[in-house]
Amino acid sequence: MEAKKEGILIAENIHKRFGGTQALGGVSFCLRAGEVHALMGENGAGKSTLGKIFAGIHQPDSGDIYFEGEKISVENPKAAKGKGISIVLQEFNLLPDLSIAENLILGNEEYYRLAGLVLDKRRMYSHSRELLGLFEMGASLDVYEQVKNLSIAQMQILEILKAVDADSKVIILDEPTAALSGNEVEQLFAVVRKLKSEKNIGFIIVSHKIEEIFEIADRVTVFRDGTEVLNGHDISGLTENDLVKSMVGREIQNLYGARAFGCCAEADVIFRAENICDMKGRVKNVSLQLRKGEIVGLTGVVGAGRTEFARCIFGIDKKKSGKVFVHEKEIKKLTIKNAIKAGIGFVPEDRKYDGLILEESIADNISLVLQNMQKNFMISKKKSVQDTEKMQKELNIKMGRYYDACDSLSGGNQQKVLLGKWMLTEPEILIIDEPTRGIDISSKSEIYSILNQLSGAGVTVLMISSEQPEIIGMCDRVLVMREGELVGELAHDEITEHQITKMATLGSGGRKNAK
Amino acid sequence: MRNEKVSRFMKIYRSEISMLIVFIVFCIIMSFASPAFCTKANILNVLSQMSVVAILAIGQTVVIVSGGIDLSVGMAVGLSGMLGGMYMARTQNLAVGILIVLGVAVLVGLINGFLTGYLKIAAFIATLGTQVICNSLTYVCSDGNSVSGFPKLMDTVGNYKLFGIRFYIIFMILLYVLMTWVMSNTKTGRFTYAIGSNAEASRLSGVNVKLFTMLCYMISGLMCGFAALVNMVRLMAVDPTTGSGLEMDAIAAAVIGGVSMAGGKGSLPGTFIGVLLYCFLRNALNLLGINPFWQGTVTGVVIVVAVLAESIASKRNK
Repeated sequence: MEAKKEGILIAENIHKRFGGTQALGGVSFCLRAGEVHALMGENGAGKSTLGKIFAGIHQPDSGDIYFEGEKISVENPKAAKGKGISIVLQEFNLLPDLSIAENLILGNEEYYRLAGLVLDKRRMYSHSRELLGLFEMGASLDVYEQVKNLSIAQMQILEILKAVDADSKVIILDEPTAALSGNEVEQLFAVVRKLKSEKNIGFIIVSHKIEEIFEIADRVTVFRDGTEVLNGHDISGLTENDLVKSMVGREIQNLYGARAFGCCAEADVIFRAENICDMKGRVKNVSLQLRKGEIVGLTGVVGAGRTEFARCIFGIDKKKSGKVFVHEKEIKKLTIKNAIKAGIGFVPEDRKYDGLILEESIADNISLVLQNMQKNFMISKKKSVQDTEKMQKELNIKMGRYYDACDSLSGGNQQKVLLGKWMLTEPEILIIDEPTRGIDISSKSEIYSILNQLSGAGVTVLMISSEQPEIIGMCDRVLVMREGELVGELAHDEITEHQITKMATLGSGGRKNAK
Repeated sequence: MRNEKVSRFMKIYRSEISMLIVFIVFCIIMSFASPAFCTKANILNVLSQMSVVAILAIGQTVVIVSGGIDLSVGMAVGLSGMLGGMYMARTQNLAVGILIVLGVAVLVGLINGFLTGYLKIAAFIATLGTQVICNSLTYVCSDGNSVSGFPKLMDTVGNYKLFGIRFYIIFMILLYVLMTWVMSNTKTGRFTYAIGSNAEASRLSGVNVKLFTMLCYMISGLMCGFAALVNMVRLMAVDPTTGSGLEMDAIAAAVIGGVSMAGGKGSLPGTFIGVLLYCFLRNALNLLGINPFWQGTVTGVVIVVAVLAESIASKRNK
């Protein structure tokens, strides 16, 4: 019993099974009050599952949970919240059309009644302002603002404030930084630090971003395949390598693989875009050319027009002007179908909404593009299954049966299905937007090696990415955009994070205008 | 291998199988409750009554699976039947008359599809608009009168009995077989599901979402034409009120059969079971002598319970 008093939230020997998969095979975990405890592991390691068990979203099959020294059971999220355990999920629980204040008091309206009937709006707003005042960035926010106009970081912080308002003693953040940019991550972490020290709130941060963990966490627990391999270790005694090793179970020598950079500098130009402008003015006169087999990075700060440019050249959004050539032949009527016909593939950034049809089966997803391109009006299910099996082997997709729904897969495997869907069309040019967003290190390293293989087979890859290490590790050259314009190009040996940032924000420092 | 096939089948057709079980249980109970229920005459009678709704439910299923809804089907049956019927009554030309019925109905579907697919008007509103227009045009053309006196051949062929079963019942079942095949083995079918589940992901995969959306409404229109023909064969007359309210029956039957109003989910065999359940339930209420005023309450409750059961089951399955 002694040990149980040490922490505020303790799990012992938790088992949890989903259908045929053992998500958690007897894990233990201990959170102290006023600490930030990182819960790490690869996708499918069970870290999110444990977070959701604490929050009452899932029920454990066996095992005990202790909260403030007492054994508890949390049947549902409401019970968890009542005890003081809140979770902030990746998908927010905010109502976009309501104001900040209305969202903050959502579910607690009864405390803001005037004479038990009318909503006391003055009190609602003043309380909301008080809450927002807890942190620097919030003070400038308007409580009347509709939530849909906020940035993702602001929404995240709003969710945390909701939890604070509910007098939570434990707040679980599930992949809090997955959609945040560097500056926003800082803002979020500032809030976490403040709440930790001032309100003695214990935070569990579920994440697989190693650099951030070193920045924010006090202790770390690592799961692998449903068991803990590192339990509550002080972060100060660890190195990044230690963490990677314990998460992956082996040492990843070179995440990006061994690429012979610049090998395609003399190859034929296979793709050329000339003076592309989009309809909304987010892409201004962008011209670029890609050579056979190159991996070219396209980067810039969020909103620089990278994705918009890619959508234009793939025919998703109408372009205002400009021409697109493949093999020096212009694609006259630029529709998605014609772009695919010309040999372009496009892996969108948001795999859940733009990339995959999550409710549909893996086979249906993988064969969608091919089925659309085929002339024959009849669809062969046999071919679809064969294609799926082929891609499963080639890309090492870990999946159940081909008819299982796509949302049964982990993020990394979903990304592979999405890649596979486009690889089946045998594209000559593959545009890939944020190739490794929200996926774990093993999957990342696999995706990088797939991209390298593709490039080796003569496929040109245009990689849009905000992650500078990945650009440095993968690209033969990188193009930098700023405010809709292409502001420069760096060859592989010139790429440094410093250079990229300088160009992306100041618009100078490299060779002006890509050839 | 065999087990694998069975488990796949069970997984994909879970809701259809459970509705079938409900239907069988219902039939067993009814055959004890009323001796007239499980007779050949009664069964053929219900099949004959349900054929119009059953055909409309095919189109409705296709449209709902694609993420839309078609409220115009009832009135499209009225308008196409009226125009074709008037032509037939005047000229006694069956072939051209049939073409007019089908042509008008497909045209209504094409307009619906253009409004929703290309002009992005909410399906509920667009088809509500065409519904009202079709109804009005039916009265304009007919001046409020019913039409009869169709070519004799229509009666001879349409009501021809094959092994004691009327031709239009067999036709209805053939349509189900054909469209079930279309929905699972052709591009149109596959993309209907894809678009209904996630239109944006389908579009980014190169699928011509606008075109296939329009195609769904055109299929629904074509089914309206077939339903109008069956209706003409059955009654050998067309009345301006023909078809009113049929769209709601078709939607109810589809939903009972497991079609999700959110799109992307449902199947034609499921819808067929839904139609069976819906129509045999009404028949049972009559046989049991339930006050007709109360019958709507019962069918209404059944619709809601069916949807509730489905949503609970699919949640548990996750």
